[in-house]
Amino acid sequence: MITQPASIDLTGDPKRRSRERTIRSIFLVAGLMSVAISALIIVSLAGEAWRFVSQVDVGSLWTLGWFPRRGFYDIPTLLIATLVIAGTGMLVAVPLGLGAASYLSEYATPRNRRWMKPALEILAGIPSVVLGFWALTFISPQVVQRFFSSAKPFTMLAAGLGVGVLVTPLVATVSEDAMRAVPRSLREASYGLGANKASTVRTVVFPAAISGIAASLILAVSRAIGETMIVFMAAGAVGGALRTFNPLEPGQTMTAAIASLATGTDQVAGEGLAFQSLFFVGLLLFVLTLALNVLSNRIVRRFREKYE
Amino acid sequence: MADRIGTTVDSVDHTRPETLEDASPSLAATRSPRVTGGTPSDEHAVILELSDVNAYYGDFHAVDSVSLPIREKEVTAFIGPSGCGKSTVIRSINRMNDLIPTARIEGAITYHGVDLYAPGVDPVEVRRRIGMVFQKPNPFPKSIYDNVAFGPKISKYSGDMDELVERSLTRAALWDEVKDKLSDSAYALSGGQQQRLCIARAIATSPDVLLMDEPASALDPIATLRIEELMYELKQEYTIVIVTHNMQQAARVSDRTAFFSVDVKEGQRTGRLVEFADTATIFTNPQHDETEDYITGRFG
Amino acid sequence: MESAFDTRHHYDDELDDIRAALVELGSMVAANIRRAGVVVTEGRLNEVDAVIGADRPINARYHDLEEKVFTILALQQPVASDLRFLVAATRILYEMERSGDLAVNIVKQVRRLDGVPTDLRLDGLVLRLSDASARMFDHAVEAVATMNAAIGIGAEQEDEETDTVTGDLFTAVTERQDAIGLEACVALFYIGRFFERIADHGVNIAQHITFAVTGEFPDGDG
Repeated sequence: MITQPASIDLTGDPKRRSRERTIRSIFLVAGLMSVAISALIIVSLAGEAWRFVSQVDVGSLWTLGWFPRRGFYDIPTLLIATLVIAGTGMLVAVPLGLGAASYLSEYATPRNRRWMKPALEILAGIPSVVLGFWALTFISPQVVQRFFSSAKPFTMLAAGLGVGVLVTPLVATVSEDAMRAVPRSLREASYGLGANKASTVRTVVFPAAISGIAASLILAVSRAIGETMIVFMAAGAVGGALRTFNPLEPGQTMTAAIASLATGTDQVAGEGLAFQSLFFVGLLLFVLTLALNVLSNRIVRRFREKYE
Repeated sequence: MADRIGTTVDSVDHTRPETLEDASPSLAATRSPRVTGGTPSDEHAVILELSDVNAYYGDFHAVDSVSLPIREKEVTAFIGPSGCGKSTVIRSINRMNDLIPTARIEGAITYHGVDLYAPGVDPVEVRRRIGMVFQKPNPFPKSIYDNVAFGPKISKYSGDMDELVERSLTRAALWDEVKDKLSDSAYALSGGQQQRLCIARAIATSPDVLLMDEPASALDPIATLRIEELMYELKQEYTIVIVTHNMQQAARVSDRTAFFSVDVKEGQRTGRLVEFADTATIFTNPQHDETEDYITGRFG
Repeated sequence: MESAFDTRHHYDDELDDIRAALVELGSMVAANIRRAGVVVTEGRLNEVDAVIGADRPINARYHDLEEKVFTILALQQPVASDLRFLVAATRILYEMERSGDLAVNIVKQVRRLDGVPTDLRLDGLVLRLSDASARMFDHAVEAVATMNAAIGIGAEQEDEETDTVTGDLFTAVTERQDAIGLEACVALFYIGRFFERIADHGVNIAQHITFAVTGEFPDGDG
């Protein structure tokens, strides 16, 4: 039998409770702030973009190329260049990144892993300006022009390879984390059934880590699409570009277009709708990456092999 | 008075046997009751032989000089306190310890007379013949069907996969429960069902030895008893080695029991085999005081 | 013992086997008790050795079964009705083995006397007694075979007949003391006493079954 004391005080310390309330409001403000800033960006983008759409001559949206100063706003030029460069980048990053992730997660001895993982993370931290410069001074002459002697110094291929190098560590580290998060017990089950390393990675670890791997790839695509500096420096076509699918030609991505318009490399202020076109392209970029994120969520949910 | 006695005699006369021979039960014909748990016969051939097995993790001497035979179509149980090396020993039998970079085995483990640690022996090949079931049910995040088909697919099984899956699940006493939902995720099953699925998965690669590392420790009592019953059925066809921290389980399921203990020397905990005998002997008349103390719960 | 989860087939089989083996042992003992009765009442001295010989497989079976029960107790951790049954089984085994020994003791008395000098009255009483105790024992074996708790509950009453006949036999023997001689008297006392003991063992066996089934011993000093 439990005897109850005459009176028992369970109200706690009022000061502590008020402190909790304060902390909660601070975090609430922080949370609301980020939502508010996002909204502000959309609103300001949308306003100018609308001005562009409502005033632009529709015919100028489908021309030979992107020459805003001359009133040619061929959006497909930018989209194609963006996709060509991001695609080239992913062609590099997927095999390299996933290969590195598989090696680090499944094959590397603890000693090798100890220095390789940080090395990869350092690579991920290299400023894109440096990579852009490297793309221009190494990839373009030493790789692109070696294989394609006719290639110009500025090509979408060189920029794409540069972007690939940029996002490889991203793919590798995020995928590796996902693969290492796959419980040891699943690997043991696989080995216990007489599977070798390669088939264990392929049939057990990869499927189990697929959500993380897909996330890393989508993240990499977003990053590749949003990358500016490498493209700006190595893809050429500053100020304007002809519409082309050929990676050996110079090209201008959405980001590079915005950068060149906004940095004054290309004096546009007052030139018709050139300034407003920049907002339109920005909004497009925003929508594109948003769509990718939504897609990635869908894919991840669909293919996830849950292991718990 | 004689009359009265006479009638009494008559009234009982029907039970009287004509001759002694008639009433004598034919002893040769009476069947000997089928009761297991006595001394297992030695007619089962030795399939695995551990000779002077030492296990190391780096500099750490985990298991000291274990020698014991494992006979086919029997259940051999490893019991002992934690740290006694029983799991290390069972994992050395199908070379699962190879997965730990610092692990090293010395001595010999022969399987059908072949040293499993001889150069040129492929651990992958070993594990196809000596399957393993783990402590926590660890089905793959795939369908029930794909879980069972996993091993056969890897070893390029060319027969009827549907039939193999059904046969394996039936042997693991799971078929009736899952036959209508083979494409459901294995994670939709209960813990006990998952463990039986793991057993079915192990059986599907047609091993002849099944190693079970505390296969029921994560299960409730009823699921545990089902697994034990299953082990009893499976030993008609497979050789089973089970590690368990549950002495009663070892008593219930095994034919022979190995009791391991642990020595602490200079901070190192080294496991060793104390006693290996048929299970009835271990649990009714162990030869070592250490065994007695452990199984009676007076350990340490 | 069908359980919804059908978890312990093998263990259930073991228990069933123990029960079947008990019935078999009981039948062997019962048969020997009847033979002992025949040896006494018909003075079949040539069959004394057969009765003694028949006790050997009974003893062997007894030791074998006792070890099996012991092993099951050690390995299967029986509880509740299973535990009661197995504990009862060890006691039943003892009662059966003792009964078998008593049958042997009875025929040994016959041999010692080189046949029991008797008359119709004594014959009748011995016959009744041997029959009553054999029947009691049969009933006990039936209780084991069917796990019938009721037999144990009524056993004490049923056994009264044996007690009465034993009393009658003792009186009759005492009355004929001079006619048959002291040695024969003692032998007949022993024989009466042994048959009565066999019946008592039968009562006990049936009561052990009552305990195994219901968890309680029948009233009375079983």
